[in-house]
Amino acid sequence: MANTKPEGETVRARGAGSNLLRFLAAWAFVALPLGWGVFTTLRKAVQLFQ
Amino acid sequence: MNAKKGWFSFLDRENTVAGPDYRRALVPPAALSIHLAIGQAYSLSVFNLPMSRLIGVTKSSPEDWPLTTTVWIFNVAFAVLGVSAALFGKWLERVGPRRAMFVAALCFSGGFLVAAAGIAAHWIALVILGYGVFGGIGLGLGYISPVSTLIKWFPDRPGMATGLAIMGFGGGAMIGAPLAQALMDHLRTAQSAGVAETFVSMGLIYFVFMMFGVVTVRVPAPGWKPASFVPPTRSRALVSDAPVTADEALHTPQFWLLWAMLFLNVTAGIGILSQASPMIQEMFPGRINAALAAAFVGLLSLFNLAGRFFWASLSDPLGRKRTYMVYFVLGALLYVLLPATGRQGSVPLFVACAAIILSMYGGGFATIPAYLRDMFGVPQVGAIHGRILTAWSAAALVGPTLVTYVRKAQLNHGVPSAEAYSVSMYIMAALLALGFVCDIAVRSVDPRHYAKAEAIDRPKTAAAAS
Repeated sequence: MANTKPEGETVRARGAGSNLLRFLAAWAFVALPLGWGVFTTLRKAVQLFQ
Repeated sequence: MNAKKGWFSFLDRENTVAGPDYRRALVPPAALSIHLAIGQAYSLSVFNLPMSRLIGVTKSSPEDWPLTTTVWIFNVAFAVLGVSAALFGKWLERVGPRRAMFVAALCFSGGFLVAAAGIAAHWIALVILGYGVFGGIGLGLGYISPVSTLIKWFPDRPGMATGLAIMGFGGGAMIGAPLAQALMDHLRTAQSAGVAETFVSMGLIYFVFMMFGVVTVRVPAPGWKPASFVPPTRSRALVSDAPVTADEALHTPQFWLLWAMLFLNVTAGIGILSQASPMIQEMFPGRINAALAAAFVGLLSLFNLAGRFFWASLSDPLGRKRTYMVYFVLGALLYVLLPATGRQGSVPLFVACAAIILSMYGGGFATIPAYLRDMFGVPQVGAIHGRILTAWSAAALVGPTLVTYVRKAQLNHGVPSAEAYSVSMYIMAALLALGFVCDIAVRSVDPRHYAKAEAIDRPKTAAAAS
């Protein structure tokens, strides 16, 4: 099926998708190890209040 | 584009200018990748015991290093952090964040590798040279390198942006400690504690992690500002109308007042942080064992981390001066309250007070770049921030020594160990009260200190565009 979207719109949509992916990948790269560290710490700290 | 071609030309500031598609939301993760890595330094104590058993493996032998020797690795690293941040700040402003981050990654990771060689050869001087000196340079340079870039990208929320990055330094220990433990468990053999191998692995892992920041970071194009941001047209109290150079900042009372405030806030926080484990065990004998004390230390690290983001973000609407007032007033009150929670035997209340104090310790670190930006402007804020971090090195020396010395003196006077920290806490409260006086004394910078246009070493791209 032929692409009926104007060329500029398609390029802009691709650009927005790629920006979103880059944003998610960058934040996941730092958030996952930090989340692991916070989770490990919290799991131990909970014992203080038990 | 007339970008220079060469092996390392991608590190040049002119090749780091963001294109129209770049989103500023990518800068905080770039900064975090550096700070989460170098924040590992806070968890260096995880190696204390294994490093004192390198020869004996299962227990210390007479040839092994005592703990009093291994602690010098940490001391040297933090002393070099302050010195290198002060020395390389102006260079950072000239070459841009990417080159500075790259050198920080080389020094920090290279420091691990040199220290690994020292551990394998059982030569403490090489370990101190590696982790303490090379690693310390990486720490100092890495700590300040993303700060001015974030301030330029987030003129509307500088406190939140720098708080987010500096939060990473607090969080680095939470990754570094379990990572080191997992690697040592995996690499340990009957003949080796696996420490040298762990240092090599961590050096390589952190290099890759930091390179993500090097590749991702960009500086804004000259004249760029956020779409919805309208720069204030009226002068605001305590916000300078023109920039001040890093050298001239040293001639202002504001710099030294802020230096004193950082020093006092950090001294008070480190007082608890450095003695947290023995303190809670001695204040609640029979109720808190070593494992629970370790959990308490972890919880303090978490509040140290969260406070960096929370308080620095709050300083954007509240103002830096008022935010520091909260640190000093609330901090002093909580320090006065701490001994009473011990006497009452209330562990949750003691933990809650200590956690809030530690959140403001972190907040002090994270709010200072935005305070400096208000006082001295954006162009050389990285260099000025580097110089003010010498307060941290000084506090790292004074805080723990003060608490240890006062506790020992108390015990020598027959005070029970559960009460031995009370005087230290009252001293910390007094230090915070002094910090409050310094904060009250901060006024806007006298315009005679403002830089002339040619005194600001502007990047080539900005100069070419103007």
